Amino acid sequence: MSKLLFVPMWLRPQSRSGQARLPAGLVLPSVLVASLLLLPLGYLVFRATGVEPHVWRDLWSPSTLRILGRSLLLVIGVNASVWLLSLPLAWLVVFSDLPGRKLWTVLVATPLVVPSYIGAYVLIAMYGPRGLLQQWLEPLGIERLPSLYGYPGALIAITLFTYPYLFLGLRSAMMSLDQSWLDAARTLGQSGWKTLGTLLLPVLRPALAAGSVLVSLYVLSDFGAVALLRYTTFTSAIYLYWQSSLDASAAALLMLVLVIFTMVLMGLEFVLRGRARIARTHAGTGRTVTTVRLGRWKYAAWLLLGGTVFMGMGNPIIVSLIWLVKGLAAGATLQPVWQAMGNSLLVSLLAAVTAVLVFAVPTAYLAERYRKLSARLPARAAYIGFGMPGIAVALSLVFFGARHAPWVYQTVYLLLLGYMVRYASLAVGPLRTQLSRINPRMEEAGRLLGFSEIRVLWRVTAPVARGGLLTGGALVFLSTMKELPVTLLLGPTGFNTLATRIWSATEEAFYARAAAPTLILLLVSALGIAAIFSGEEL
Amino acid sequence: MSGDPSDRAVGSGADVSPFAGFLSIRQVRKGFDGSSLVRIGEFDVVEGEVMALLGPSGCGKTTTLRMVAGLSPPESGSIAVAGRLLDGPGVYVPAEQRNVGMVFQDYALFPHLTVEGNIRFGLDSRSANSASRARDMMELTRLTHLADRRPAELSGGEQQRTALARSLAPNPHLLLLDEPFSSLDASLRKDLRREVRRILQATGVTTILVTHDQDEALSMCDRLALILDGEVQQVGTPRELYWSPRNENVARFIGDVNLLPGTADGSLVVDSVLGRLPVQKARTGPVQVMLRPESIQVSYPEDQASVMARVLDVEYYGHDQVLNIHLQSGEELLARRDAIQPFLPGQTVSVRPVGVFPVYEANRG
Amino acid sequence: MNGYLSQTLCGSLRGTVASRLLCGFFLFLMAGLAACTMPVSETAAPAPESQVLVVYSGRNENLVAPVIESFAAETGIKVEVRYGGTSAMAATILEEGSNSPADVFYGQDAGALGALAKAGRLQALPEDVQSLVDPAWVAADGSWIGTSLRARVLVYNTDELTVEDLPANIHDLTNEQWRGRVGWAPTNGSFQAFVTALRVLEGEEEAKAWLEGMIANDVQVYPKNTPIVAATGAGEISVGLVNHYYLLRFLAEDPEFKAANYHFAESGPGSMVNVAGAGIVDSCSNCEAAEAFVRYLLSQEAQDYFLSTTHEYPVADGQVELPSGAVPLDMVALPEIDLSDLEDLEGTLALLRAVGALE
Repeated sequence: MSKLLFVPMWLRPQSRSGQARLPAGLVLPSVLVASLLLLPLGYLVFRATGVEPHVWRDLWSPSTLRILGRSLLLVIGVNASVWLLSLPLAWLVVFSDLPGRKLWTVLVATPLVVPSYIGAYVLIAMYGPRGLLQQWLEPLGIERLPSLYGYPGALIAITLFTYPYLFLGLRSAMMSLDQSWLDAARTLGQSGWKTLGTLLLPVLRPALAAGSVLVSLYVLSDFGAVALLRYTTFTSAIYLYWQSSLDASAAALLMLVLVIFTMVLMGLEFVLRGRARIARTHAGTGRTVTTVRLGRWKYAAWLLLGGTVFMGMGNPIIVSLIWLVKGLAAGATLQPVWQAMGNSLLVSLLAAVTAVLVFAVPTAYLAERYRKLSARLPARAAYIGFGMPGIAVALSLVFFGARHAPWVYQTVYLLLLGYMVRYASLAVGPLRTQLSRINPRMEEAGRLLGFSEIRVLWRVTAPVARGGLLTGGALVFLSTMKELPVTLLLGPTGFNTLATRIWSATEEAFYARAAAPTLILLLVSALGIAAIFSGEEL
Repeated sequence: MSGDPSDRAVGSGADVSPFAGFLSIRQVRKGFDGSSLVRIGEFDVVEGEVMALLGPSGCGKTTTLRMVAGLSPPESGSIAVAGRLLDGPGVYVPAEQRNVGMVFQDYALFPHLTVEGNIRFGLDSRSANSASRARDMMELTRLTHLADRRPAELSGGEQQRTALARSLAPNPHLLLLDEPFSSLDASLRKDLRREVRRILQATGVTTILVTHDQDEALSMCDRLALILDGEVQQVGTPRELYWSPRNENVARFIGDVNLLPGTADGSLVVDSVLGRLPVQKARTGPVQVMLRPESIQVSYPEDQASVMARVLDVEYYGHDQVLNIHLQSGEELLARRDAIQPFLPGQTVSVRPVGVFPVYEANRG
Repeated sequence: MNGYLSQTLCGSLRGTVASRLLCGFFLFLMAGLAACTMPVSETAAPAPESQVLVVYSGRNENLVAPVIESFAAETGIKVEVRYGGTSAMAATILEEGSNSPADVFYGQDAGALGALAKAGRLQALPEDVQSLVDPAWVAADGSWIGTSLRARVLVYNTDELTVEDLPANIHDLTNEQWRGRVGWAPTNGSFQAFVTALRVLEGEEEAKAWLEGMIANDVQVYPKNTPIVAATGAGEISVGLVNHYYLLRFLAEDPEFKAANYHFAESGPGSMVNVAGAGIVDSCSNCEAAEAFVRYLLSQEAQDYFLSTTHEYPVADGQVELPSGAVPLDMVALPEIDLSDLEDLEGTLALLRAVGALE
């Protein structure tokens, strides 16, 4: 008996500790998927072992530390601006009496689909020292705008193309708040912003934590935008070094530093998320729509929403239209993109559904209901892939696929796995937020009515957490729509998507050819998001 | 009792002999957080009865209920329902296979389903019977007109009845109610208790009700078990627990208590300041006699033979009144009287104990 | 089949209509995807494996797809092309190991070709293929061959400058008059090849001094050629060190674009010539077709295409007419350098890191 006390509960056999033991039907799939998601990490370790000694010396140079410092500065800055932008945006589309809140939600979320290299390019084209804005202002005698390059540009660009991560998570969290919280939020208009800090922020902690981790990991993994905006970060340095040397070992070693960063961030998320569980304890389980009258504040609200949508979607549309008009005028012909559009939609929806149903539901459930390390690990494993640059994920799966699984190599299945590795973590956060609000008694009630834990998960928990499922699915959908390196390297040969079309055209300065796919990407993604969120009403 | 439970044969269906009741709990132990501990040596519920588990919050009554439901298995000991071993050495029947229904404190209705959907959830949705069974349950619980509502659109009482109908629909062996009235307005509770009592009687299901409210326990159940500090103190009818509590703690938890010091001489009579009192048990030496306020008859001083006292305070409730009286010997007592005769503080009254009283050994020190 | 699948797989779910619908939708997507990617494998399946030529192209689809299509039409060989960045495609072949499906690697800088050759992943081309081209554009070991040429130029803003204002060589760009007005892309392969040429032609010290001089002169850093050309046309910078053909593409889309190419008047690394090239992968399963493909890239037809459409210079002999805006290569003051002298990429990277150009 006393010996047994030292055996972890979940290792004990069937008999006495039923509740504490993790359900095998959930552990097996999530561990399986999580270990697949960890393949890139294994690859990095494998590659890094072959590193040449001089790389070690280079790694610990002052310039590396300087670049690391720059990455951190960008992470901090982007987080701050994303919070400032997303909190009011989410609040407005959930609680305010603005007309067309659903439409605003779709428009505000869609910029996530803009590939960062396009976003940065567009930003330069519009607001660069001699961009369109300067041309419009030229009659006023303005010869040059202040330089966008460096930290400010990188900050603006990455903020614009990552804030939807936090916005969507917050929105979903706010929508699942209890009536009492809604009432608390209602008073905001009257009793000042103190209420926000004391009431709303604490209950939004899980969503803020999850969103911030995504934003931070995105900053760490991106190199397209920062390279164009001439702000060297750790990842862009690794990428550029790798690109010119093709030295996989050195790049892998540096990438492991990035993985350590990712793990530190996960630790921070854990702290930020807090231990408190905010389950509903009362019977009131439905959401009654309460709205806050904005009064004169509505002009400020319009400005904020309109400004965000203009920066996120308006800029790319304007620049694309200019490309299109100029190109057509110069005799360029449009190429049909229907097949690329179909492929984009298909793989993105498939990735979204797979990420949510196959990965997020079991892992988020384990992490929320069994609050112990072993149960949380699968959910954490997914973040590693998101924190890595796509090219690293793609190459690691090339390595495993070609050498160890040739039967799936260059098929849509491995492509899908690639998307999972990169984006599965996106689906977990919103779902966990939602699950933390669901009364566990409800699941117990389901079990007592004769359903196993797993079937209760599908029949009770998942439908009730529907908002979280849809939000997670939307994040994966948008991210996959713009995904590039994994699609290029792992897709079936000849497989193209809107993102590969855009990339292929802009890479060689065929901007007119990039315009149509860019516009269609924005339009189709907005429609996709609208369709996903139309499932929200019960 | 039957010694170390692990000596027993493992989970054989025939092994019902040690289990006397419809629900039998034997030697169950569970400690959580290392602090609170539940230990139940032997506890049985008879088929068809409503058993209340009464105790202060944190005493382990909800844990006991969850153990029976299979939601939180015991660390040792056995639980059997209807002759089937559910927990025992090497045996753990998961919650979903126990055929035990439960109504949670917060009802835990499924918000995405209608009232009817909630009730049909536990029924085989493909069977033709399921619809008619759900209809019957809604009729029984007077929910027919609300069949298409969602839980968010129901009042507290309607939610409670939905939860009750949902857990009764699959025809469970045993129904567990966890503080079912605690989230309702006090004014509603009395009606709802009666309503629930009616439904339970109509179905005849064996029921365990967990509550910290003694009125609820006394009025709803056939028998009740008082749990203090994780242990069952006493099991019996409401009348038994009220008039013959096994110890002082039980007495104090249910109703008001007067404890009078006295001296016992081994007979069924004890000497006290109220004279020679008939007691339920023969003891010797210094004792405490427990008198309920109802068994102290107070009247205007007319009877020379009785003990005289002075009224300190009157709490008037309408249906009755409670007097705080001061005996000449120095003790203060509570006495309950009908509401008709008026009493005033300072008034002198005569006091007469009526009945046969429980008696406990006097506390030392 | 889809209906049957969803019946058997989803019907077993004892659940709500919604969950079955969801399951059905999922399977529908799966089947749709399988169907939409099927044609490739279906048509590939009946033909013997060796009949399909697999090309990994680091060159852009918009540039080379027509050439590959006409190759397929002419020879009847079925070609599958995987497009991606030159580095990514080369790295893919390295990671795939001997299981690589690739027969041919077609890339746009000598660095990636060299990396594959160094890893032993390219097999030597037949002598007669090598002899189609000036030996200057063939790897020393014959493992890869240049297929078209790209000259380094100085692109300049025509609003601001005329040819007379432009420097005679790269060293003049470190003068005060060019402070903050020059753009470069130190992480770009062509630029790095140029720096290697600078080191070979003028020595390590001189190269270092030039790089430091440029940085001290506030040179503007871009990630690659295209944004430099865009910034030059917009007047954000005055001149940029780039490959010659990007400007020609900008001009094709926007004839008003305010920039022109300038070849340095003095011979030197500033006017060196890079190659785009191809090699046959050592693990090729269709090596004959691969050879035919490389041969085709050197044919008159393909060379004409490169000149007229991708604005690159032909590598094989033959008389061709240059499009407007392009300067004939024999009028450019080319440096005396062999491409195989440019293999020390590592030294160049070390130098660039040392002077802080890669930060």
